[in-house]
Amino acid sequence: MEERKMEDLMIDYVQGNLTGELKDHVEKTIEKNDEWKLEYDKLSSIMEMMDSSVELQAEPSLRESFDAMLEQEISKAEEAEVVPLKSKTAGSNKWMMRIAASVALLLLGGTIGVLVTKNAQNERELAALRNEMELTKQLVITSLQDQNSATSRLRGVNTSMVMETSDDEIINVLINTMNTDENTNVRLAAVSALARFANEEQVKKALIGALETQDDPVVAISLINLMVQLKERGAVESLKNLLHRDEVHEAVKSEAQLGIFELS
Amino acid sequence: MSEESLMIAVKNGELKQASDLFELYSKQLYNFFAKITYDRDVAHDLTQNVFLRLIKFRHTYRDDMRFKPWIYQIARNVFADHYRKSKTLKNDNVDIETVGETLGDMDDEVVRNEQERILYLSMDRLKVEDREILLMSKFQKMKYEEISQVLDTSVSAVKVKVHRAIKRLKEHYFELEKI
Repeated sequence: MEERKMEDLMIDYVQGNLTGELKDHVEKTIEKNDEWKLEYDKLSSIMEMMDSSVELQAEPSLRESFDAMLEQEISKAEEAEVVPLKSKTAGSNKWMMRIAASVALLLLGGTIGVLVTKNAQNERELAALRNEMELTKQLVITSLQDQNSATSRLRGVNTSMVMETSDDEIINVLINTMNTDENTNVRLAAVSALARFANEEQVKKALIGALETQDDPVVAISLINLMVQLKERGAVESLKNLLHRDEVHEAVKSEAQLGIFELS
Repeated sequence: MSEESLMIAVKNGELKQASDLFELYSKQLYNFFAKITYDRDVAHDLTQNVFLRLIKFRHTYRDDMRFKPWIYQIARNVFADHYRKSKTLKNDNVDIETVGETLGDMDDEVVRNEQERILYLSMDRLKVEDREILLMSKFQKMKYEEISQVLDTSVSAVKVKVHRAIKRLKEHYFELEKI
């Protein structure tokens, strides 16, 4: 423990990040202890090499290709630029303003009238919508529980995608499907469906948990990519765990390694 | 004109100002890529790609951002895409007997003596995230605070990462030095 602490202090010291008592402590240790003196010498030489490494010069063609690319982008931007239309009649026109104000008043009055009559209609439409949502929800749940047909379950997952707001019951069924469905395509679809609600704690937790339990490489890679896309740093530990497990497919390990890099 | 003002000008349609940003950053980005991939052709392409993205995604630059962390974030993404495509993930358990291998394009121009050769071979044996953080903090001389903005993490987390990478580099270096 002491040794590790000293190792960190030594790194700070070599980088010039220590002052006061800590600096004195390290200097005395180097002076008195041959092993630490050797450690200090070696560390300094490595750091020195990094500090004074050779700066490579890029080929002139890098500048040339940049200039060509820039020219191209400037031309594209100029082509895309839309010239704004300018009014031909300069100055204000009182009559025009009055007519415009009258029209605006008429429109406002009309709109209020329409809104009042539409209110009742909206209520009815809202009730119908709620009813439709409930039916959709039941359809999703029933389809996902159909153990005899993967197609039906897949349809259930896809139907869940039309629901714009999250629903606890649906989410629980989708999580269960992602974790236990015997069909890879259904599990994969469940991951996509859940991704829409990944900002919810329960869903996020389930997705991270699934990283370590999914045995199919396709689903596992899809989950890893999702974590990267969501910039979910909470997944890093689970990704690291994947790297140390013998039974995990090499492609998954490779993607996990990349995921760790992108999330770290 | 500051880097930030130049970028704001680019964002507002003065694309020619990107030329000054290229002048300021192309060399360090080229070195970053060359020393992380050990391939100068790849470094050339990736550097070009960073500036292409800078122009294409100029509208995503926020006026209150510092430019350097922003362009390094683009560089990381460019590198990650290259990494994914090439699938050349480095294996940590490289056979020690392969120490006689060359360092690709790095051999002739960067390696001035045997110690530097061992240094670069040691770097090559690091995990890519360790290599990246050493390149930023030591080779590119970026401050911990700047790196924390690139990685979107805390300064203390950066310090831990740098220390860890130095310790691993040191282990590889001493191991290779004995051969």
